[in-house]
Amino acid sequence: MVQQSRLARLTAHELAGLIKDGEISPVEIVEACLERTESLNPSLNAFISITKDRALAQARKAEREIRGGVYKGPLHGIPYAPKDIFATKGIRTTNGSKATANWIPDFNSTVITRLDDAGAVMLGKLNLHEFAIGGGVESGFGPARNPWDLEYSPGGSSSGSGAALAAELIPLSIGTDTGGSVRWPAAYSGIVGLKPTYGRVSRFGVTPLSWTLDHVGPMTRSVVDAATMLQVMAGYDEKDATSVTEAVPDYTAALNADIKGLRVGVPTNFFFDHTDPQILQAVRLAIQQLADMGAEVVDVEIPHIEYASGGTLIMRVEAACIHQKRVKEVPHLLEPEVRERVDMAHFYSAIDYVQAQRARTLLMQDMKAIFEQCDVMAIPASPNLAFKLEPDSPEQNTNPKKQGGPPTLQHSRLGNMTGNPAISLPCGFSQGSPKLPIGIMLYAGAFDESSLFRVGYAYQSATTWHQQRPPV
Amino acid sequence: MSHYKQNTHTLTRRQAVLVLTASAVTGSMAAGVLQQPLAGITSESLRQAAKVFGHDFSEERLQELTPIMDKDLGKLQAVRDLEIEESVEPAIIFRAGR
Repeated sequence: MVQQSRLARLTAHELAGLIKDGEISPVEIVEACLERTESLNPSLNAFISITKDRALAQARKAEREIRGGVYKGPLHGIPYAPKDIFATKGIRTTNGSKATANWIPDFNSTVITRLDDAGAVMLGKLNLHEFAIGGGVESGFGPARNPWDLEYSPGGSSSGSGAALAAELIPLSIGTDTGGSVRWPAAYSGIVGLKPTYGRVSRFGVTPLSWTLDHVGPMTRSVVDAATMLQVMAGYDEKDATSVTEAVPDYTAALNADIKGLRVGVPTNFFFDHTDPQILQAVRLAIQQLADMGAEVVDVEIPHIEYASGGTLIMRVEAACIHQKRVKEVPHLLEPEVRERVDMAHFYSAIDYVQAQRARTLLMQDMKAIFEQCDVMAIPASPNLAFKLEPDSPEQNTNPKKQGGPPTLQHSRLGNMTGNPAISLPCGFSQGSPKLPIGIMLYAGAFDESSLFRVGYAYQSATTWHQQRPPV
Repeated sequence: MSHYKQNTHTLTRRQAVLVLTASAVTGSMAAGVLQQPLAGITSESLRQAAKVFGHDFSEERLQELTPIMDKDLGKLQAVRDLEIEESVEPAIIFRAGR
């Protein structure tokens, strides 16, 4: 029998096995996660809302169903919490903003409905950078904190998801990713974050930031759980005009540790030029690990990588279209940087916007050519380690967005610009104190999430980075 | 096919990146060089631009935005400098009858 205090620390895959075998009840799991959340959330600020009564009612329902012989699958009775940007019927959806702090939708986003239908139990709603605008912008509800060191950022914009997963408050979360907002917190917090192919997962009911860059993806502590979640979340949705009818494969079939002969592309330009030496070393070792397991490492090049900077312009222009009315009417309720970014976009021309969209076409062509040479491409998930939320001096401010320093976003924004799927996995830690997580990012061809799961699963089968626990 | 390129007599960002990389100038140093504004922006020039774009900012807001826009100009110019052949279409989806 597993002790209740340990339940919150298990992965969804481990919990599902116990539920299916009748060893544990969803109610016990939810109670364990709630207890840990109520104890640690005051210091982490990962949750904006905790829906305790609803969660317990859902868990009791799952318990009755399973005891009655109705087992819905590997998410049945498993707790999760979405970033608070997914519309949840009858539950406050703040978008991390004081401007929408009291919005109670009368509908569910499609992803929430699909997780509900699979029997997953929602524990509450997670903190985020206001309206999912990443970088230096913070939440209207105060910053979430990194469980590896509370003075540090867990990354963003899905900041609460990164913090809650790393602190083992919940086994599953969903985030949104417009420039890296799933993968960046995954790297900073030491968890798994997947941005699927554009169109693979419905965005209906998710407050938009940038229509042509927004993606929805699972955030978990293991690759197995990411594959399990995507299986439920993926698929055509008539309510989302960008949703595709592409068949959803059986992702669990990709979960075998054999990567012999699989080609891992490593870019010879850009990504390794400006990266922290500790991250470089960890990522190089991870690539070597894949080679030792039988993968073939090949050099690749992205000729137009610096064109990915056009993504910032696209995001700002589209975000300004979405938020300009709000900025005009309730500026005092918004974080200064949200106002700034929206106002700045008023000075970009239509030609600037279309030019950035044309740059995107070139990047898509680059990626198509790359995945004719390799199956996955490996790069550092972020060129820098997590930064201090409140630096003692401007010189100590290593937030890359504040410093205008290393082009952090290009690592992740490439995937938003081209729509290719990408996953961030833990692959090491910084030396000394504080011990901060390091991530590797794998890209694959469009709609080939299976290759990411295959390599990710093989890597996690051979390493223990994803099993390390923060000191909370 | 046309091979028209913008700013053929000046150093574009892409060219600058290549030159900096070849000179082993990378990381935050390169980013710093590339983010230098090409020309100073004043609150008055911003006010005039806002008028052209049809926006009405208060004088106080223009004052706040001026240094930010001045800092951002280098990045914006980088997008304007991108060398893209005429045959490359924007990645915007349009589906008739949707």
